[in-house]
Amino acid sequence: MGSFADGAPAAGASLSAASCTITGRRQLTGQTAVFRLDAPRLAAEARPGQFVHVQVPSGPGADPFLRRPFSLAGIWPDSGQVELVIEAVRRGTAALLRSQEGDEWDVLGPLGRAFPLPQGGKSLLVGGGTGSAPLLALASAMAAGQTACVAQTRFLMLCGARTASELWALKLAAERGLSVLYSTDDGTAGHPGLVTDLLAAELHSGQIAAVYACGPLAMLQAIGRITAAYSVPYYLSLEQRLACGVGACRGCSWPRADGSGYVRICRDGPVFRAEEVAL
Amino acid sequence: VSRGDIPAGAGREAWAEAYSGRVTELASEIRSLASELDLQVNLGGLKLATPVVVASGTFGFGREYSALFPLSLLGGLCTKCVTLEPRVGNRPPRVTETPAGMLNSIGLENPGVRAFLREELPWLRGQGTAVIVNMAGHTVSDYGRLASQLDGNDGIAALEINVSCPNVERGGMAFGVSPKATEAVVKAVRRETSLPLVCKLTPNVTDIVELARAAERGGADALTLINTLLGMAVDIGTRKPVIGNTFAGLSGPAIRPVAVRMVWQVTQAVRLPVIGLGGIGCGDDAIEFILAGASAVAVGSSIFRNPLAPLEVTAGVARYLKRSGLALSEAIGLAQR
Repeated sequence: MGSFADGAPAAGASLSAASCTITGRRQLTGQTAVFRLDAPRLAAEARPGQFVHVQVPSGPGADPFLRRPFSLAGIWPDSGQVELVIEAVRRGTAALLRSQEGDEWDVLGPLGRAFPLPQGGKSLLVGGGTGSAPLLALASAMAAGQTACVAQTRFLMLCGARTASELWALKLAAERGLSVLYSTDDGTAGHPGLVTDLLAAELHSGQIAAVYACGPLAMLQAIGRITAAYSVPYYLSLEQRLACGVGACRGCSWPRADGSGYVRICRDGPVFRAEEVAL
Repeated sequence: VSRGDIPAGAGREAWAEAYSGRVTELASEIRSLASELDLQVNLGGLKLATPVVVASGTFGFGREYSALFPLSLLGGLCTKCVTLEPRVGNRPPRVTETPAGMLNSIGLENPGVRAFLREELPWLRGQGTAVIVNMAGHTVSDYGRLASQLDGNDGIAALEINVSCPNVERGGMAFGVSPKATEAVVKAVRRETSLPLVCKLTPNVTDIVELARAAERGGADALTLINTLLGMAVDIGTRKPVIGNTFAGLSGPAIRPVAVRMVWQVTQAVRLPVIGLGGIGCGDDAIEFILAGASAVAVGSSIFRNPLAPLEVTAGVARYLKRSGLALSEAIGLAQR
């Protein structure tokens, strides 16, 4: 932090304007950890599906340069805390993963548009890999009754991963008392195969009000094919390389379904109705 | 498709509120230093309240960041590039990070000049900052037509000519790499308007001074340098170019030494005032450009890293001047003397 501090520090200039303290860090897998941040304003304002844009701690060389976007995995307005799940993919996320309790991050947010909450009925929440994060936030909100139809919100989480050791979403779900159906590509835990198999079975066996999903593009595409047969509303959260995060730079474009140009993931999304975007 | 069912958080620009305390501090510091020091600059008729503007393409038309701070704290705002017709832009991915910088290939996505005049300018002219309209075309006559449509509208302080676009009449080579084409474009714009003209030069040339002289001959009142350096990145996993358009413009601190060198060379050779940019994230970075010869600076992709960077830069420049007892006019080009 403090990369923008000038030669003569002014009051408040050395620390970023939007810093949050890490109050908890737990390793979930070899490459993944969940971070709890003390962030009362974020916790009060953010809705499931929204994301934050985190500056990677770096020296005066401003390298890594760009922020990294993460969907919120948990939002607790009462305690003023939020949770992020970070998987080390390349150097930026690896540097963030090395952060420890007590460290501060410069966190821009909440950004983007949130998942719409269901008006009753039963919803399916499908997460693939790191994409389970925003669905955990959504599930927690539904479980806490933060929906339009308080008592009647029913939902089921479906999580998929490549292998058992990457099913970190189960740990977080268990802590929050959420039950999960799960699958692994290699069959080392849960249903052997794809999480979309579980989705197809659920859609087949009962009335579903809405499907929510976040994960790899192939998974989102498969869910689009499956849900189309049931004409059930399908909301998905997309990922793209971002620069500004607030809609100004037009860097994070995604093709519209009708071929008329592009939407911005950061401001028009990251949550879309499936019919809006080309998959 | 209706987006009515997808909520935008609490419906406010909640992200901007975290910065409100720091914005208040910076605003009061900038206003107080501006009353004490003379921070105004006149770039060949383009008058700026401070020597710090935001660079084209990094700030949209100002709406998103207006939630963060009053745009009147900026010396000026270079708009997203405007073209005759609307453009949807390039296919994604459009941005990626590089060492101490980033690549972008947005493809001049913009609503076109008519929509700009109808929907953006009326709002922008009320924001209390100098509006510098960045513009580009595919032919020399496109530039002239754009200038004539922009001319005569209230609230435009200057036109910034982007010469980094492909010239379709010359096989797609950028106007800005040819002194002849650069001069022709600036002349075409000059004929249509009496607004101050700033020509934004591309660094992707052998001799930047030759291009600066061409812009001067064409009738430019000032120069902006530098635009992005042409680069590319390959994904070793997919074994394909990272950026949808393959080539992209490099910006950020990584290009700062190149930009400072070009500002130095150009200001030694031509009399036009220069807006310097390339990886400016703090006051000291800006001062480096000013000492090298820039009369003003632009903050670009550093905004993505720190949305308050334009204000931090402004306050930092003023603090440096105060500390060193230099007037801005004395600091400009001081390293050359």
